Amino acid sequence: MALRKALAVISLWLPSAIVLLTWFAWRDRLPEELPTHWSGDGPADSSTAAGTFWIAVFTVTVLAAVVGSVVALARISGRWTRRAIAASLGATAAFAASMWIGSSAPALGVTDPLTVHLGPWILLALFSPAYGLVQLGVLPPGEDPRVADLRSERIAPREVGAGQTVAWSHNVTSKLFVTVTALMTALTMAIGFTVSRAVGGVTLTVTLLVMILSTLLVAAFCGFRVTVDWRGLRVTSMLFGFPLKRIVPEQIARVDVAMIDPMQWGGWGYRVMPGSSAIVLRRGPGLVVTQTDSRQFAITLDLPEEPAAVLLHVAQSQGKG
Amino acid sequence: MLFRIDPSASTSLAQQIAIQVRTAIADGALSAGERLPPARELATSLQVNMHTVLRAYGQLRDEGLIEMRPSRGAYVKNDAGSALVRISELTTQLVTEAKRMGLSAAEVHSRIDRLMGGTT
Repeated sequence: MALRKALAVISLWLPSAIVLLTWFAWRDRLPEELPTHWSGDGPADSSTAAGTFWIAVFTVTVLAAVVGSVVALARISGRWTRRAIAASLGATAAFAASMWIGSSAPALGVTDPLTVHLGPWILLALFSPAYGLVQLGVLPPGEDPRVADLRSERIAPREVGAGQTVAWSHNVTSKLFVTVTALMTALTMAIGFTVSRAVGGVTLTVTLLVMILSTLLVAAFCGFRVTVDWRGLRVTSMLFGFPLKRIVPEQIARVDVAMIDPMQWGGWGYRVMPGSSAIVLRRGPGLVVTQTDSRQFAITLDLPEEPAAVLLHVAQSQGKG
Repeated sequence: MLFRIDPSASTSLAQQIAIQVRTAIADGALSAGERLPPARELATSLQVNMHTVLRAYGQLRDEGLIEMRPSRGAYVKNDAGSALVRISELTTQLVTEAKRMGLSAAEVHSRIDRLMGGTT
């Protein structure tokens, strides 16, 4: 499965590689402007600066490859979802690359771009979307949304005497998110002070608003309070006080202590994927709760054994766990 | 940190909470500067009255282990280490014992002053 994913990623980056290599190989023999539009059988009727055209094409191929690679490597459920998304991105990258080849190859050694005929190169653009079939064929079907290989330890529920009440509370702070928040705040202030003179009005207001909202969103993940009590598991943002996750005892089917691999859960931060969600602040131990509807929630914690034991006790005494 | 309370125990619920926070500070489960759960939240978690938690926090503040900042909650003080916790425990023990024996606060103070080399 890993080999098939790797092949799909390579195929997604191939158009970018071709665009890059042909630029270095051909740039001395290309005219300053490249033919970019043809009507009928005649020569080109419009042209664009070669460098600008190349940058536009290269950006599209790289963006398609980056997003396509993430999709190819992510844990995505559904038989066709991942293959279809990766295939459409592969087709996009191939089409953009064919635009570049179709415009530059027939213009090699030519001085006037408006004398260039497209000829058989049009076939390349016509058939390029078929490149998506590569990703469609190579990528394996989507996986079970549950993380099957939790490499978990067996946790016994905490023993609690009759009439006793237990609760576990812990604060988790993320240096990474604090740093990103600080950088984003500095950037927002820098934009506010310096750019305000260059561009005023609506553009500045919208930019600042987007920056402030993004900063607040990141700031919400600087610190959490994780609580396990008779109400189940709750994760609350320490800065804003609103709950980010709540799982009641009746929803808990299984509690595990496991090594949390960010790649398995979709990356760092608050990750939401089909069938699972996770708060991942680093690679390391964490708590994984499997709900009765098969959905999973994971959170990285330094010592997850204690909350796991308390949660198991709560689930068994109140829920179905 | 883990809180566990037992309504049938002889010690009050506030005392039980205070003891557990003190122990957590002593063995490093709660580190300096760490924020304690807000009183209202902890009270809901433990299904006790909020004033019970506030009483526990108040006692820990009087012992110099935590500080309570208005509208920001309770924090473990930076100098609240295991040594201070031990002193706090011994002081509580001393006061309980003195009360049991009927000693007045002034008598206890004078004994402590004498031992510490002060004047009576």
